[in-house]
Amino acid sequence: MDDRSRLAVSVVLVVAGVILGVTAGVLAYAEDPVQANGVVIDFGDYETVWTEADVSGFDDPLELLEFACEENGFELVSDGASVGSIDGNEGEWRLFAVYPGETEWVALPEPYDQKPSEFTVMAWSLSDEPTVAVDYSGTPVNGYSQKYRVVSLSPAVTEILASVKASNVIVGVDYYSDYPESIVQGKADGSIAVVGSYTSPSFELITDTNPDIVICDGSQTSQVKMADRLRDVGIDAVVTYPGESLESIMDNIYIVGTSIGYQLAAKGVIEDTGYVMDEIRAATGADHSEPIDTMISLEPDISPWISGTGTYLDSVVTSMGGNNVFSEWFGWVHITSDRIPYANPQKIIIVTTEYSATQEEYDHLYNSLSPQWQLTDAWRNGEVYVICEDAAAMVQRAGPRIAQTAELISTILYPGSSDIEVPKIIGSEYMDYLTFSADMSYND
Amino acid sequence: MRGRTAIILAAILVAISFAPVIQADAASGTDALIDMGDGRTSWASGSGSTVMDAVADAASSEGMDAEYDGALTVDGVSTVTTGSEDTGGTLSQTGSTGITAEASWKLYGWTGDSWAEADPDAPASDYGALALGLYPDGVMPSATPDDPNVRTMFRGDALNSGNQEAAFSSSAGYEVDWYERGAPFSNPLYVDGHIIQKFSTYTTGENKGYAVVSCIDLSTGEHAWDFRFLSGMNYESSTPLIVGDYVYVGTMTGYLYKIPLWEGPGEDNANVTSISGASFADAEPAPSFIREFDTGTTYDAGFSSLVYSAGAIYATHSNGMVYCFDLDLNLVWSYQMDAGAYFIAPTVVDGLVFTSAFNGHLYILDAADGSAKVDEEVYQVQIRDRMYGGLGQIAVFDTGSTYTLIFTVTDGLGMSQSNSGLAVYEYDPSSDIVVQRYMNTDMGTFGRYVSPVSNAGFTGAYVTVSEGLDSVLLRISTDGVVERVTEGLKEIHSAGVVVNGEWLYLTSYSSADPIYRISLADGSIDGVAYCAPEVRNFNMSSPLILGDLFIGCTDSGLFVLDGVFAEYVVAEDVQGAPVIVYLAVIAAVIILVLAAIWAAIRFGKGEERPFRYLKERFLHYLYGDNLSHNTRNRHRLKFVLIVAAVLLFVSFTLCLCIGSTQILNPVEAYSMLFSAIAKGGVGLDATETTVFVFRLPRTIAALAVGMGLAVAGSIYQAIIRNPLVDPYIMGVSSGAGVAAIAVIAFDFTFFGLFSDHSIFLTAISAIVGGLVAFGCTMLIAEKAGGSSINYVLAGVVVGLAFSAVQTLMLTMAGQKLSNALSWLYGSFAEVTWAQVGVVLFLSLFLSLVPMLWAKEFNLVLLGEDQAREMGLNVKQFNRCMLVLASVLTSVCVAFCGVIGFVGLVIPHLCRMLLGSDHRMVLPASLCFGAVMLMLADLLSRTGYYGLELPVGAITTIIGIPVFAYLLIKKGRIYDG
Repeated sequence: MDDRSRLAVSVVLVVAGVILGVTAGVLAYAEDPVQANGVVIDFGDYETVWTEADVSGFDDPLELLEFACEENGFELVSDGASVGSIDGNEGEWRLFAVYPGETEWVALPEPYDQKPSEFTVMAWSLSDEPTVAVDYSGTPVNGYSQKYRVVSLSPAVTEILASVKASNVIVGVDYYSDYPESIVQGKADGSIAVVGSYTSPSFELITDTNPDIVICDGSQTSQVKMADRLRDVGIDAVVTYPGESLESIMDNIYIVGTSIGYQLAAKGVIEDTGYVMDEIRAATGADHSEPIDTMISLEPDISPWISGTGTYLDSVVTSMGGNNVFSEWFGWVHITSDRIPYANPQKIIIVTTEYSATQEEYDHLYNSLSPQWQLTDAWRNGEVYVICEDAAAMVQRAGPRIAQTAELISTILYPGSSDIEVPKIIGSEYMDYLTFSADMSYND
Repeated sequence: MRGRTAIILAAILVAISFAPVIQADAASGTDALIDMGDGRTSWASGSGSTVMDAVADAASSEGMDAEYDGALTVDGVSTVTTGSEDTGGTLSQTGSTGITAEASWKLYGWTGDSWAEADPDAPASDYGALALGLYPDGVMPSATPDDPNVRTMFRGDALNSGNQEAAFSSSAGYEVDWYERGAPFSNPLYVDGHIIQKFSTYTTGENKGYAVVSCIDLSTGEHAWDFRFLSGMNYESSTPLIVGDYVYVGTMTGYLYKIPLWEGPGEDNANVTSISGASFADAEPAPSFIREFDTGTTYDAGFSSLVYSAGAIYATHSNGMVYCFDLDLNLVWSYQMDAGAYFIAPTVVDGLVFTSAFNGHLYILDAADGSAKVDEEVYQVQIRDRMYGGLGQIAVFDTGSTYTLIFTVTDGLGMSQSNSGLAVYEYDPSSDIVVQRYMNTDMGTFGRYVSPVSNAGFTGAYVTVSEGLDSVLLRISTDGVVERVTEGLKEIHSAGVVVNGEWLYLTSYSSADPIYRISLADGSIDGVAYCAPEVRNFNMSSPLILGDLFIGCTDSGLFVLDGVFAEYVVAEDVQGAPVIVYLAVIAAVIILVLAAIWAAIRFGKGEERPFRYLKERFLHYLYGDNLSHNTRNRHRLKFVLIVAAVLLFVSFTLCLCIGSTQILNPVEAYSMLFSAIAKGGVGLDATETTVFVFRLPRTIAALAVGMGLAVAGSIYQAIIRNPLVDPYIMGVSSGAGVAAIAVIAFDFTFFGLFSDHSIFLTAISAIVGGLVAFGCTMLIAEKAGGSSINYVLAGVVVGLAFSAVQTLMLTMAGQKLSNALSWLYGSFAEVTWAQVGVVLFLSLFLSLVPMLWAKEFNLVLLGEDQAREMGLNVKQFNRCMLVLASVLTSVCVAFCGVIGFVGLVIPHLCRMLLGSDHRMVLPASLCFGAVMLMLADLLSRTGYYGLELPVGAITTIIGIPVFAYLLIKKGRIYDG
C-alpha cells in the first residue's frame, strides 16, 4: 500500500470513527422530557392534593384544574380567567410550573392559556412557593404507588425512611447507613443488602434486591446518574436534593414520603420538626436580633475546613440565633488560619468523629489549638465546643434528626435557656441534653 | 396463529360438547351440570323422563340427594340465606347491615344458546342439557354444554382449590399462539370463549395510573371491551370475579365495581355500578385506613381477590376488614380483624369463612352474619421491635366431624420475608376450637399458596418450598406427613394449578425457567414449556389451562400457548456441569491421547525427550536463526494475535460471567446476553438486566478504553522516544480534569448548551478540556521548534498548569469534592449504553490508524535525522500522530476518568515480549491493553463486596508485578 492509499484509509478510519461514534451516541441517547401525569393543588405547608390526569388531553391549566377539582370533589370558584377559591379556600390562587429539565417552580402569568403538556408539572398554589413536586433530577415525585421494597443509597435517606416509619420496607442500603439500629441489625443478619458505597453504588447489587424504588441522594453525581440508569430498566428512582438547608431537608422528607406512599407520615415528621424547632427557638428567650457570632469547623487544625453558607449546619445555626462568621464563603471551605482571629467568633463548634467525649481529650484539644484560634473571644471565654462520637455522626448528616441537631446547637449558643448543663464536649450521650426533641430520634 | 387457535378451540369445544351427549345417548341419559354455586362444577349423565328425574339421577351419581316436593332441596338444603338483622355494620365497622343475600337450588335447561330455569315436571327431552345450581333468582350458571370448563374466580372456586378440569386433544408440540404486553398481576378468568383479565399499567408507560379490566376473545386476542379505572400504578394483584352475567372487580384503591359481562362498561362506564349500587361516577371506596395496627405490615392494597358462594361475595381488605356483599354490592356484613390483609381471597366452605391477617391469626367466621367463631394466633415472629405474622391461602378439608386446615405461615413481609413454614390445624365446628397438628418453620422459604388434592391415595396439599436457589415440591397430608415429591425445580412463587386431579402445573418465577407439568401419580416432570419471549419477566400469577391452551401471565404480559408441553430434559446444571465443560474435557482427553501416542512413537524411535522436539520447533518458528527477520516477526505476530484473541475472549467472557451478585457459567451468560439482545433490551428479567445493562456496557467500555490508552501510549513512546512517557504527557488528562471538575463541582453547563444532568455534559467537557490543553501544548511546542523534546517539555508545563487549576478547583469544591475525586480516580461504574457506542467506535477506529504507519514508527525510533534521510517527513508525521494520540486519550479519559498505568506499561510489556518492531507492538498493545483493563474492571467491581474500587489503582496493583518480572528478565533491552 503506498503512502497516498494509507493516508486515504487513515482519513476514512478517523472519519468513520467520528461519524459512527457520534451516531451511536445520538441514537442511544434520546432524552425524553419527563412529563407528570397529573396536577398539584397546593394549599400550603406541604398540604397538597395530587390528581392523576393525562395532561396531554387538556388545552389549558384551568381545564386541568376543573378536572382535578371534579375528581376530588372540590368546589371550584373561577371566573374562567382566574381562580377565586378551591374547596372553600379563598386567596390568591396562582399557577406555577416546572419547565422540562429544571427543578424550580416558575409562576406563570395570566391569561392561563399555557399548554400543560409543555411543562414537567403544574401546580395551583395559595403560597408564593409551592411544595416541591419534582426531585433533584427534575422528575415528578407524585403518582407513585405504595412501595414495599425500597433501596436507600445514603445514610440521610435511610434516616428519612426510618422517620416515616418505613424501615421495614428497606431491602437495601449503602455501605455507610448505620442508623437506626434496625438497619445495622438488618445488614448484619442479611435481611438488608449493602448495595455499594455512598459515592459509588453498584447497579448490579441494587437490581439484585428487586426493588420497587431506589432513593438516590442528589449530593452525589454518581447517584443522579444511577437514577437515570435504573429508570432506563424500569425501576423507579427518586433523587433527593443536596441537604444544604433546613428547607431542602424538609423537602427531601416530603419527597421520600410521597414517592413510597408514606406521604402522611412524612408530613407528620415535617410538622413535628417545625413545631419543635419553634419551641426550641422560643425557649432561648432571645429575640435573635443580635445573633451570636459562631464558627463551625470540621476539625481543630490550624487551617480548618469550616462551614460557609449553603450548608445545612449554617442553616441550623442561623435559625437558632447564631451568625455564621464565615457566611461569605459557600459550602465547606478550607480557610487560611489568619481568617479565624479576623472573624473572631464568640462560639466555636467543632464537629468531629476523631475525638472521644472525655474531659482529658477536650483539655488536650483546647490547649493545643493554634495561636490563631486562641486569639478569638470564643477561646478566651472558654466557648469552644466539641461535638463528637454519635453526636457528630448525627450533626454531620442532613437528615430528619435535624431538630435534635438544632437543639444541641441552641443549647450551645444559649446555655442558660435550659436547666440542663451542657458540657464542652458532647458525645454519644447527647440525648441527655435534649428536651424538646428527645422523642425525635426516629430509632424505630 | 390466532386463526389456528380459533379452529382448535372450536374443535375442542365441539368435541367437548358432543362427548357428553354421545355418552349420554349411550346411557339413554341427559347431560347435566351440577353447579355448587361456589365455582365447583361437575358434569354427569342422568336418566329420567322429567327434568327433575334426570337431574336427581345425575346428582345421585355425584353423591348428592336432590328431591322436589313443592320445593327443590339438595342434601336437605333448599335455600341459603346470608345476612342477619342490622347490628350497625358498615365498611369500617364490624356488624351486619340487615341486608340479606339468598341463593336457592334451581333447575335449568339448555335452550341451545343459553340456560333457562326449567320446570321440574317438564320433559327432559325438551332441553339439550340440564343443570342443577345454587343461585339467586335470575342468575344462571357460567358453565354451559358448549363451554363446560370455566374459571370464574381467583383460584377457581370459593375453596381456593386451584383445581381445574380440562380436555386435551392435541398431539402437536406447543407454540406461542398470541401474547399481549401489559402488567397482568392477577389470575386470568375464563367464560364462554373469553378471558377476563385485569392489567395494571406498570410497564406500558401510557395512561400511568389507570388500570384496565379487559374482556378478551381467546381465539383472536381481540378485546371485546375494556373497563378503565383510576388506580395506583402497580400491583393490581387481586383477581376479579364472574357471577352470572356480571364481572365484579375489587381495586387496590378500595373500589368495588360491577360490570355487565356481555355489554361491557359502556361509554363513560355508564353500565358500571359500585358499592350500594352507586354509579361509577358516584362510587365511594372502602376506607383504606381505619385504625393503626400493633402487629404486622399494612400494605395499602385495597380489596383482596373476590370469591362467590351461595349468593354472596366475600373479600378481605388491606384495612383489616372482611366484607360480605350481595350481588348488587350492598354490604351484608363486615368484620374487623386486628391487622391488615392482602390480595388472597378468603376460603368459604359450608357456611364458614376461613381467613387471616398480618398478625398471624387465623379467623373463622360464620358466613351468615360474619360473627367470629375462631380468632387464633397461629404464627408471629418478632422482627426488630415489632411483631409480624401472616398465613397463606387456607386449604380446608372436610375430615368427618372436623375440618383440617393446611396453610403456610410467614412473617407477612412478602418478598422480604425471612421466616416461613408450613402448618396443619384441625377445627372442630361443634366447639369452635382449633388445634395445631403440625408446624415446621425450618424447611425453607414458603410462599402463600397450597394446592389441595383429594384422591384415593392422598388427601392433603402440594406446596413448593425454596431451598437456596431451587424449589422443591412437597406434599403434606392432613395427618401432617410431609413427603418430598419433585426436586430440582427452579424458583417458584406462583400458585399451582391441579388439572383433572392428575397434573400439577407450576410456573417458575423467572420466565427464563420452565413452566412445569408434574404428574401427581409419581411426581415426575411430565413436560415443560416457556412463555412467549416477548413477555418474559417474573411470574407471580396462576395460569389457566383450557385443554391444549395454556393462558399464563408474567409481569410483562399475557400469553397463550397452544399444544403439548415439551419433554422435560434434566437441565445441564442439574447434571453437574454445562455441555461446554464436557466438550472441553473430551477435547483435552483426545489431545492427551494423541500426545501419548506421539510420545510413544518417538520413544519407539529411541528419543529420550520426545517433547523437546515440539519445544524446539515452536521456538524455531518464533526465533529461528535461519528465518528472515520479517518471517520471524510475522510468525511472532501471528502467535501473539492468537494468544491475544484467546485472552480477549476469555476476559470478555469472565466479565460477563462474574459479578458481585451472581456468577454465571459461560453458557448461561451468553444465553442471557443473546436473549436480551433478541428482546431489544426491553422487558428483561433480572439476570438479563445484570448481564446486558450492567456488565456488558462497562466491559465493552473497558475494552475500548484499554486499547485506546495502550495504543496512545505506544504512539507517544515511539514519537518521543522516552520510556517514561504515558498518554497524559501532553497535559490531556489535566485539561480534561479541569473541565470535568468545572462541570461536576461548579455546575458548568457549557454555557447553557446542556441540561444539568445530561450524561454527555461531563464527557464532552472533558474531551474539549483535554483538546484545549493539547492545543496549548502544541502551540508552545511548535513555537519552540516543534521537536519531540519540545512537545514533552511543553506538555509537562501545560499539564502542570492545568493540574494547578484543578487543585484549586478541588479545594473550592466543598461538598462536591467527593464527586470530583470519583471522576479523577477513574471508573467504569457509570458507563451506560448511551456512551459505549461513542467510546468504542472512536477508540477502535482511531487505534487502527497507527497500525497503517507502523513502519514509519520504526523509522522514527532510529532518530529524527535518520528517519528524515529515509524519506520520512518526521515533523509532519510526529505532529499528526501526536494529535491522533491526544484525541484518542481525550476520548478515553472523557467517559471514565483518569486511568493510569495502562498507557505507560502495556507498550513496554509488548516491547519486552516482542521486540521494538511497531508492526507487532501496536496490535499487541491494542489487545493486551483491552485485556488488562477488562480484567482490572472486573476486579474493581468484585474485589471488595459492594464497593466500586478505583480501576486505575487496580490496573497498577495487578500490572506492577508483571511489569517488574519482565523488567528483571528483559530490562537489558533498555540499556541501549
